[in-house]
Amino acid sequence: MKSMISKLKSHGWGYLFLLPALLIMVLFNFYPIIWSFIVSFNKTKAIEIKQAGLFDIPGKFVALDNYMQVLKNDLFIKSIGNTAYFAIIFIPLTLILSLLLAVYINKKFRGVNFFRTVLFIPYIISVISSSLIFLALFNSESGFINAVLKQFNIDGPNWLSNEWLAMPVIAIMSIWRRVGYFMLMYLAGLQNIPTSLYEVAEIDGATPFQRFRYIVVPLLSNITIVIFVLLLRDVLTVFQEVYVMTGGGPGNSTVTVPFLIYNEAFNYLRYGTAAAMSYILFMITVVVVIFQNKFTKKKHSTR
Amino acid sequence: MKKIVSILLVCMLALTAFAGCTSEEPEKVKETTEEKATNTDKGEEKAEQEAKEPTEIRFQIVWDVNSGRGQNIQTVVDTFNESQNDVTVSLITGTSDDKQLITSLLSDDVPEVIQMGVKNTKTIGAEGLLKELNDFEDTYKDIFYPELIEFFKYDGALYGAPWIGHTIELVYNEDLLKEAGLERAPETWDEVMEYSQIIEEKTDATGLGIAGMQHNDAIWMSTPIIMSYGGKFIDVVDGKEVMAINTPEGIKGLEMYQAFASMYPGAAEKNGGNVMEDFRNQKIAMEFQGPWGVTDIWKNGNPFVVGATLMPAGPAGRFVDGGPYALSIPATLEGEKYDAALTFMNYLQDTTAQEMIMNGEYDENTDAYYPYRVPMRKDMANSKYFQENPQFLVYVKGLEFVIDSFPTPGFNQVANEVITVELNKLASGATTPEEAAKVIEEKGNEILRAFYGD
Repeated sequence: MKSMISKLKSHGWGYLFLLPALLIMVLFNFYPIIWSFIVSFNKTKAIEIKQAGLFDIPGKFVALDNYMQVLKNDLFIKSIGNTAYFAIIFIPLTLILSLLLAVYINKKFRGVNFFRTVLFIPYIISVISSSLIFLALFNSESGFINAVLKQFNIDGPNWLSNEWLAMPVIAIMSIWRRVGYFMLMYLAGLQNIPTSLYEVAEIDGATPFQRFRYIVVPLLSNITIVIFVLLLRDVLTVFQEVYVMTGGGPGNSTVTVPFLIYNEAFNYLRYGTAAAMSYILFMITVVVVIFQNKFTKKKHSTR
Repeated sequence: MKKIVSILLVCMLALTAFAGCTSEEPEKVKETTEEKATNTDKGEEKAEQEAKEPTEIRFQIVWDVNSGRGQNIQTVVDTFNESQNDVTVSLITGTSDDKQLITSLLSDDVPEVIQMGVKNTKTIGAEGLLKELNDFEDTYKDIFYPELIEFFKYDGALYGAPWIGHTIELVYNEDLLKEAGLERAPETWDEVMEYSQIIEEKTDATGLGIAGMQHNDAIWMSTPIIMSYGGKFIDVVDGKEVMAINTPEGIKGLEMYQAFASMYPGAAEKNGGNVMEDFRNQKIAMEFQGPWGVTDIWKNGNPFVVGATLMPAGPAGRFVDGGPYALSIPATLEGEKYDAALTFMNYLQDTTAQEMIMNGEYDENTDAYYPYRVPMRKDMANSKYFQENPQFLVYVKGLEFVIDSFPTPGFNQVANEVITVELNKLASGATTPEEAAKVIEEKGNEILRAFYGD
């Protein structure tokens, strides 16, 4: 206690400066988290939210009813499957492409900076704009992709109207947007690998693939873990792309969990079940992160 | 000094007395005490009125105020503002997006009068965010078709005052019909089917374009067909909403929808906008559209003669999808502002304001005005615009058969998550009407039970 008081005395001004940021955090982060957790056990009408004071709990307590409803909802289960389908395409491809592009632009050649810039640009384009670009590209009648396929006498499919193809198109767009950013992260890692390692490997007769496999991949594993976590976050929050490109269709094949939460809260005004869905998603995220941490630790300890 | 002040005061009094004697009119001199008192009251009242600022309210529309539609509505608002001194209305850009409307209504700074679509009015009203207008229901029934009032009611409470809107009718390409040797527009679904086959045989176009994409358009395009065969998606039994499509009539309706979709290439991937585009490009000869379906052809240089006729009838009668807009007041509005909102709403429902809507939106590309919605009053047929442009009367006539394709808040989720999916499958031929009806019934009922917490 004494040490705490002495710390406060010696760093008092510092804590004072932190206070506004802390208050904003509490108000806009922690308070809504706790509030929505409480709402997940209630049946709440919009007017009850409007009339509730800052510390009031709106609606009627229904215990675990909202959670039970969500778990019985076929579309919620389907949306988890859709999200997993998206993740299976999105995460490995983004990781592989980012790494390969980083290795490629790590070399010195004319116009390398131009390539780096071009590859990074999609990351700064808004999701809505990117989605609209891809909608035009993959349009079955007037799209560029089908026009190219036509040159090879192939009748392109209706990409976004096909239950199995719509999600991959969304994933391709998401990869295109992010690959430049993660490529730069890998590039930073690559530039930290001592060139002597490559030279020694070359003297030992290692092929370029072997140098990539035994030097680059292991030494970038920490960055890979960070990127994996960031990609996982993107998977669990994929919403705007779906909203703009497919609206969840066709046949609910692109309904993701965040999209469903959005619909539940803002289209059907069922705040309780929407909050329950959010917390189930949160629990799934926690489980995935625990597994990923265990896997990573195991991998590191066996090295 | 005192003397000087006294002299000045006496002089001022004398001047005032002279002024009073000389400037007064003879009648005023003869005023009785009573008259004097009355005149004083009137004067005070007038002065009070002059001193009182008009009540300022905002009118939020679903379109951009700078758009052609916004500008058309602005003229109506301007006329209102010029007609009286008690209320001043400013027009503001809004949205038809229910998410944004709810957010706006949950805030403390909310517009006093809000234009709302059918779905929003019921859904948001049911949440308690809109003022109940039950006291005006009888008045509205005198002016508007009673069916129309039902659009804005939920659980016995009225949440919106009818204003303008549309009905969806059969819009057709007269030239293509003539090319196929067809002299008049089809009047029944059987005729539509027959016409479609003839058009396909005799022209480069196909018959009826219909949306099959997983989208709202598929619902409003299919519901009038299904209902005209005696089917319906939803019903109320013992006060509870239940799915009602899995009947022989409902299945027949789904069959007809599938039959029309199968005759329109790529129907499963088309939404209302795509259908409209195909109609404009003469790929199809018939479509379901509101008044904008006609003006879209006018705007694009009249590539062919366009006609509009009532939605075809089936064995169970004629059913027309309607999209009226309501005027709603936030639940929290009270006092002067509430009165002002009512005054303005009454004005918007008046024949003059209703007819002004028909002047339409300005299109700078063609330097002309085009109607985009029609008035909802049932007594507009004799107004000047309709006398000069009778082709639009069909959209008002359609109000007699109007149905609400999204009848309850619970139905919205069923429509989004189940019906549109099954219609999409029907359009692509991936399912049968029997199977679709069964799935819609089972999954729909599950959703309804969960939605209402039964």
